[in-house]
Amino acid sequence: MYSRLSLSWITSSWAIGLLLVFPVIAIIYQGLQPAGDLFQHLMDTVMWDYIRNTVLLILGVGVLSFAMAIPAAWFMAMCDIPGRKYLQWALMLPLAMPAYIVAGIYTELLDFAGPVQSVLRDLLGWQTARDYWFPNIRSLGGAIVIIASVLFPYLYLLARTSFLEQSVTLMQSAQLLGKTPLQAFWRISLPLARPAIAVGLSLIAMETLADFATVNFFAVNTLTRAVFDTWQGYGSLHAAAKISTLMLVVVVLLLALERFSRRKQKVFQKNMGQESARLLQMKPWQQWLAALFCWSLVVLGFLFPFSMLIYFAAQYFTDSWTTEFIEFSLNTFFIAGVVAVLACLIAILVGLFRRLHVQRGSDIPARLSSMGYAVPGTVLAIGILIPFGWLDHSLNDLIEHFGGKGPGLLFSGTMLALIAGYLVRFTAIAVGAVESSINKIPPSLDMVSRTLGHSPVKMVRKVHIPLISKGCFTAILLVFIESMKELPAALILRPFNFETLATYVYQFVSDEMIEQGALAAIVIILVGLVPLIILSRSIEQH
Amino acid sequence: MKKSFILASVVLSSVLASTSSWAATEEVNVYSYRQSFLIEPIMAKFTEETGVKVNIVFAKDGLIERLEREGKLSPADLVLTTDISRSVELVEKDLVQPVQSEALEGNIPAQYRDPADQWFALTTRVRNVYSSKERLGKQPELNYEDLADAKFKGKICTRSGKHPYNVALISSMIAANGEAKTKQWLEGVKANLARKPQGNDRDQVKAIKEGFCDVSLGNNYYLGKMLNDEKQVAWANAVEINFPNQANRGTHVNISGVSLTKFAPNKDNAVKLMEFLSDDTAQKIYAEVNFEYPVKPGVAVSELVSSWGEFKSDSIPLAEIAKQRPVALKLLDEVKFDL
Amino acid sequence: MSALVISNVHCSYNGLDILSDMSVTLEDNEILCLLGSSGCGKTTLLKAIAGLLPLKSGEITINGKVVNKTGFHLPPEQRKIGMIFQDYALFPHMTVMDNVVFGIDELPKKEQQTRAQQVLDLVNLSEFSERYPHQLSGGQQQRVAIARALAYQPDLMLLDEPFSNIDSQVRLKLIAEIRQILKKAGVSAVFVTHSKEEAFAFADKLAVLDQGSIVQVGTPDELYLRPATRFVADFLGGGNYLPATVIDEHHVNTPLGRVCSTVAHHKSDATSYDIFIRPQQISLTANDAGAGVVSDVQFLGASSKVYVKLAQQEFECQVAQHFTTQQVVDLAVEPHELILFDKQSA
Repeated sequence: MYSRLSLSWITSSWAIGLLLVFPVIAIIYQGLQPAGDLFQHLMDTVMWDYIRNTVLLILGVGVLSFAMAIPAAWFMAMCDIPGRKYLQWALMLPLAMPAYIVAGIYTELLDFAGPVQSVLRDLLGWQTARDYWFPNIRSLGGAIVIIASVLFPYLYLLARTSFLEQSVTLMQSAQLLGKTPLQAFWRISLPLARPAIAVGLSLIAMETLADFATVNFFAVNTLTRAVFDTWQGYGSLHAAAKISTLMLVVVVLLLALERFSRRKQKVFQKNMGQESARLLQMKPWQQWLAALFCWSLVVLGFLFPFSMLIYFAAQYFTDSWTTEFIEFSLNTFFIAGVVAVLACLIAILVGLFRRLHVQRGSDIPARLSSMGYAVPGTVLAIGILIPFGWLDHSLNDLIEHFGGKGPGLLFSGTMLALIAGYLVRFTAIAVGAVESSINKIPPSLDMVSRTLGHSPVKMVRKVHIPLISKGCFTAILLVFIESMKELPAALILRPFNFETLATYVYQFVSDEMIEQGALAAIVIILVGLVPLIILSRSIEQH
Repeated sequence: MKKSFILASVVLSSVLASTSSWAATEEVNVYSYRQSFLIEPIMAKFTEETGVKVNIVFAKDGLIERLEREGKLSPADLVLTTDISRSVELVEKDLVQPVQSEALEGNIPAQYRDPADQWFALTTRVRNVYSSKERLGKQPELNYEDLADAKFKGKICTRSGKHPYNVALISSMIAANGEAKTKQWLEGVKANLARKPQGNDRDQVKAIKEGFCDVSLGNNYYLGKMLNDEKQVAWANAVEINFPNQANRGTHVNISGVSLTKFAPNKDNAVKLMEFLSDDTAQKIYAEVNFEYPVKPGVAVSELVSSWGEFKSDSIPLAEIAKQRPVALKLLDEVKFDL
Repeated sequence: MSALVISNVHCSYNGLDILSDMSVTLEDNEILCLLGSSGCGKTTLLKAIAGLLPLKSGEITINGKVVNKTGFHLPPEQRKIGMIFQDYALFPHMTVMDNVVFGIDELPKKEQQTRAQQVLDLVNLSEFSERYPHQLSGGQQQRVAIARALAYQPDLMLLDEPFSNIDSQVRLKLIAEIRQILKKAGVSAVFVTHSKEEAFAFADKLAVLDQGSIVQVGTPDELYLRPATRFVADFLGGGNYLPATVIDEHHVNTPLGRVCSTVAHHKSDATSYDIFIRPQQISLTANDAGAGVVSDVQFLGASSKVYVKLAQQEFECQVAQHFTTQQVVDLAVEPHELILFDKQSA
């Protein structure tokens, strides 16, 4: 329905959309500048190795996540395995674990000096590392296992929902036409879930591409490291921006895959009535095996690392419970809170703009403000610094031109840079959450309120805002959690004397002193659990 | 919507207020490549003596880039570096200014400061070769060049070749032996590596203890730190510390340095801090707490460090070595040292 | 040999009894309809036959092969059953042809083709074989589902509310069509519905279900003419209940006067019953001195439904003539085979 919106609303929607996409443009612009011989030198020497490692990492994580998530999702959707009620949400828990923390813990455990190898040595009488072979966790393979074990729930969630939404009668039909449950899975369930699986895998691929801390810790040279090394080592922002642009291309490809799959999903998902009697019959030993499989995923990605953290935190509590720790926690909560609220406000602004201002292109501000999500934090930080530095200099020059005293680094040297970085990266989450709850409001409500004499603004206040308040809450929560976890952007953008819990923990992890960062890690994880609990509640109620 | 705009502006202004610029109190802002806990005791002493507050931003990477970007608006007064190449980079990028100070000139011998007074070394640190006590013993005859020798096949451990400490060592090799020979050497070393370059210098010593390798590269002060760490003392006890190239040009020595930024807003306090850092109190802490070699003549090294004995250091000027840095980085890529 | 024998089947779900003591037999080439309101257990029984639900006790035999008995449950994929679901359950990612050969993909390619062609011809969809399900109308989708089931050459066909998603305009035509297809293919079928019109049009044999048990089994006309309980009588089309006292083998006395039966009713004399009279068995005549007053008229086309008030009771009548409200009429009951129920205890 067409509504005449005030000019200020229209302009602010577009302005915010453009502002949030500016860092991306800045990187591409910077990447298109000639970078001299350096980029050529990199292409001639190491670049292909970086690319190969990145591709291998993404492929490896994808395949392993698939092998973990798909069986789990199918068991959860189709079978009555022991402990199903708990597993259903326990399988989401690994999402709350930052990969680099898990990496730190497993390194502690599986390293030469760690308990596993020590026990093996004691048992078998080995002395040094030369006496036996043990897989090195600090390797590409190790990174794949660690990253997959915390990212697979993305795929699990999407695939499970897709399996549940598939009409039960399809599976029953296949069975009645003489196919075993396993055959029916391969021929019906899996092909039908393909769009959802593609979405899940592309999400996982993007997260993997963006990972900095884990690959750095494991000395796996991927493109994120290439950006960092080129920028820091060679001091060339141009070449770094060029590599970043390369990564953006990968991201765009993944996004296209995701969009394409979602579109296809609409054709396929013709849900015809839920039924409760969907459970597949399994023999008891099969059920226990399936349960064991699912629980081992939970243990690997959450229970074990989390209990280790609790153990460390208890041991080092007095060392960890410092004024510093409290200060950093407050910092983190404050900044994450500000970002969450702002992101939600932006999402409401552009979301309602899209709804009310029915015109070609009215969805562009929302799309623009979501672009930053896919940009890896390291790359994004560069994209923030470019325009913010320019703004600072222009502003100061201007003020000094009129004889005043410039305010200094108002943008790039304060928390503003950090907030902007988080906003660019996480507004997409808020836009998604708010948009989906706006879409749930039937258009007839708009028509009713308008015919009952309400102006668009009044309608928004009295009808839309109350109806989307739940979506807004979800948006705030999700952005809050992501902002708490974000590491690479914070490492580069944080102001003087400023640590977030994530940078604080990472410092300990990279120095292999994870014991002392355990308490802070626990805080990050516990806060990250909140949305999972809410999410699983809403799934259960469904 | 009005309400939310008001809310947003309140939030924004509170953010600004809480981070508002460096107020007029006496202070000095430091960008530090050195771990802050290493220098905090020294800074605390400085504040105690002068009443000037010290703000530190520590980062392993990116401070120079940040300084460059901030330009004349930068709040930073001093940059603390951990190796010569960073110090030279600061000069090359025109981010620092000369300091004429009698105190600095008195405290720091000429070879440890920039002829143009744009950087000053505060300590020196040696790039040692550690060897397994059990399997190799002390190696007094060893040269860096020998690490490419086939006899070390599968026996060498090191951190990333791109780490500034290694880059500086490789630069010194280029300065001494030329580019082509150094490339050959790097290929040789790479072929001898027991595992992909990873971790930090301490990890390599740990790896020797655990039997992954027999030799590693590492700075001298790490051994001191490990010997004083309950958990790591066992690693340290598994290795001997060696000073390579004693029969020829001498062992490669790096510095940790300080520079005054070009647009330092608190210049007076900053110079005061520089002088403090080069003076007895601070130099002593560097020596005692951090096991480095103080630059100020007359300040004694720690007992432990002196027990490792006298040694001859590489005579090639640091500025010459720093010049080879781009070449070193290029060679590292060409031989895919880290990959 | 019977196509399907169900004996003493019990079924429970979450501790609740859904089916209790069900028994019914289906002969070869016969179509059985399970009729009942929602929640009566008809779909549950269908799924139990298909093996999609476990039984608590009882036995099911399909074509002489025991598929369920105590301690034995043949998995659905081994039962040779064709099932048509309410939503047709066509595989959305496969063409019509792929759907049809899904159940016979272990046969040689050539045979798959001929058999698919046969069944698609049978359901008149040969030219649609390369289309996807979402490109077909509801009726076409349903015929694909039937073709898919027939290609599998099932021993028994199960249809779960197959016509509920079909437009009422074409429903009866489609029912006739599909009944013919099944008869031509010579398959026995069990079919579930809540609509008596569908049941009458489709079934050879009818089983009326209520609260998990079978109330009555028989041919459609048997059940319509001789309902065993009030429930069956009501379910197969409403009517009027009024008290009746037996006069003799062929006559009873009612508030509408003496009613004559065309067959002997074998009830003892002078006892009281409730007589059930269908609307079309009452005839009306305009009579100013009549006892009834027309309270409402519903025009149905060929006939009208007329509600007549007489002595506190409203009678539902279906007649060919036209009446207007407030008209005064006389009511009479045509002679027919009487339906008498025992008096309901208050």
